[in-house]
Amino acid sequence: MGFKKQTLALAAAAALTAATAVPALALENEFHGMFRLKGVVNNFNATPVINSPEGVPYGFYKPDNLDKKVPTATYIEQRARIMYIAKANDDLKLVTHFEIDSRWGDASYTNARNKGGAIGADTVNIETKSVYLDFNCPLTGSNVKVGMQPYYDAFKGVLFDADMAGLLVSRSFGKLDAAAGFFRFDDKGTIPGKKTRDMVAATAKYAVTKDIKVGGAYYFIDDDRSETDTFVRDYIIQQQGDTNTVHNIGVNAEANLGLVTIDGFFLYQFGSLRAPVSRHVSAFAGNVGARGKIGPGTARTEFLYVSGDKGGSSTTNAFQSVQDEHGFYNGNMQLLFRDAYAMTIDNAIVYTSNNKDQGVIAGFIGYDLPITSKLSTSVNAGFAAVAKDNGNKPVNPVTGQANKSSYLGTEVNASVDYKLFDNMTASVRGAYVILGDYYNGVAAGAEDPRDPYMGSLILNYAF
Amino acid sequence: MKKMAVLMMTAFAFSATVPAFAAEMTKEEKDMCLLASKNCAGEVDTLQKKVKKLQAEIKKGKKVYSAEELKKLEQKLKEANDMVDALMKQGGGGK
Repeated sequence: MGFKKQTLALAAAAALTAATAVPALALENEFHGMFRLKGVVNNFNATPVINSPEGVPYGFYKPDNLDKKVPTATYIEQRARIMYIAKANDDLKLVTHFEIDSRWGDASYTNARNKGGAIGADTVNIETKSVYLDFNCPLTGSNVKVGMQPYYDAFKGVLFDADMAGLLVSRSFGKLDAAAGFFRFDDKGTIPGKKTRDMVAATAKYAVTKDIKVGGAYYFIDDDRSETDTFVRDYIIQQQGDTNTVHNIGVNAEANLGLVTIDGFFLYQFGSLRAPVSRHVSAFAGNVGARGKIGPGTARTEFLYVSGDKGGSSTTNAFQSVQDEHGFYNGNMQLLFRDAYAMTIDNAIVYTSNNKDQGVIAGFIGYDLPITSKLSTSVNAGFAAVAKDNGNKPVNPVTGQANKSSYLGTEVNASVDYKLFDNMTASVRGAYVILGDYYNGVAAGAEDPRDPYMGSLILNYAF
Repeated sequence: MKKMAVLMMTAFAFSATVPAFAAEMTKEEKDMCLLASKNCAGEVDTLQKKVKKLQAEIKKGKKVYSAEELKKLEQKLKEANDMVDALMKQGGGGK
């Protein structure tokens, strides 16, 4: 091959390489993530008063017949999340999201989720949260998300809020946003598709004006898993049949009235918990929230009612929240309700909306005050009571009697946040719960359990 | 004399421009990516920066963008906020 021919061949090869490389070059690689460190001193999380049926440190507060003095637990845990998005163009992308958690000193050289914090590290501990395709359909103009994706209810998370495998199709029709989806929570049988727990979702939101939005949602959850599957881990102290069907239908609204923004929802449930429970379901949850500028800061308030059940009748009024794959965080509580900054160690007095079939009545107030552009504070108070007493109420170990009171307690908490960088914040927090009469004399020797407290230091970096 | 004047002027011109040129060159020669992790090739916005930028662009309104473009920007803002929510989302449940 002469020099000229060689040059031509090289040019052709280069052109070919460039031509095949162009589509790859057009791909936008987007990385995002977060890192959170939480140091805790408390007499609540990861202590004996936490009910942990599976031997892992999470669940409800349960001081029943235990020493009233709770040992102080101190720990530091960390979490990193990495999100990689392969974006072909504005209309097509693959979203992946991973998580790595550990508590300092927990274990090393092992294969286990939420471990790897001990000296040496070297632990296989990466968790996959989401892997889904997100695209705008050129045929219908709708947005489609398909795969393992984050999805939450239209009712402030009282029903479900989790990563789940499914298909969600959304479309805007002028002022109306509508979506429909199918999600498979579980598929437990030996033959795929036979013993599943599935959800069909349909939601809509209509903008009446720029400042007023009303919406509705319907979620049908059909649990066809059999009695051979244990529900102990799934539903924590929540009555369930071997198979269950629950229809959830509700409305929500949000109005910006200038100084104040008000929002809320009402959600009704009906269906059945089949054998061996064999009960109809008739339950509801309702909420009203408001926030607005008062003085230099923002004041917030929320009220939540979730129905509960006494037991013993053919119909249960216990709200059927999806195990602990949900949470109401609008009250900004740290102990009374689940803490928004909780990681692997995650406990609360009202741990699920169902709240051991008792339901809950709760009210919250809070005030966020920016002091400088970098420094801000937040103070919150909240109370909670069970909506209905039932057999899950703790008893006095001496008399064997439960208290008449349904008042669980009142939490006061405060946090001071300092922005070290635009995307990194350090927070110091404190929380204290004055236990209600619901817990009077339920500790060992008919003593009153000590009030729970928590002090925490948090670093948050997101990019 | 004429030659001299041209030379003088040229020298003056150079004396005036050279320092400026030199300063620019020095700045350009500094690799700010290595020095301060700024202006790196392939640098992308953090989510917070992206949200701020989108909010600023949306604020410009119909004077700058068409209704369709504004809708697109709003959609991108929602996507960015959703991404922040997904990353910062609470949750553990011991799992």
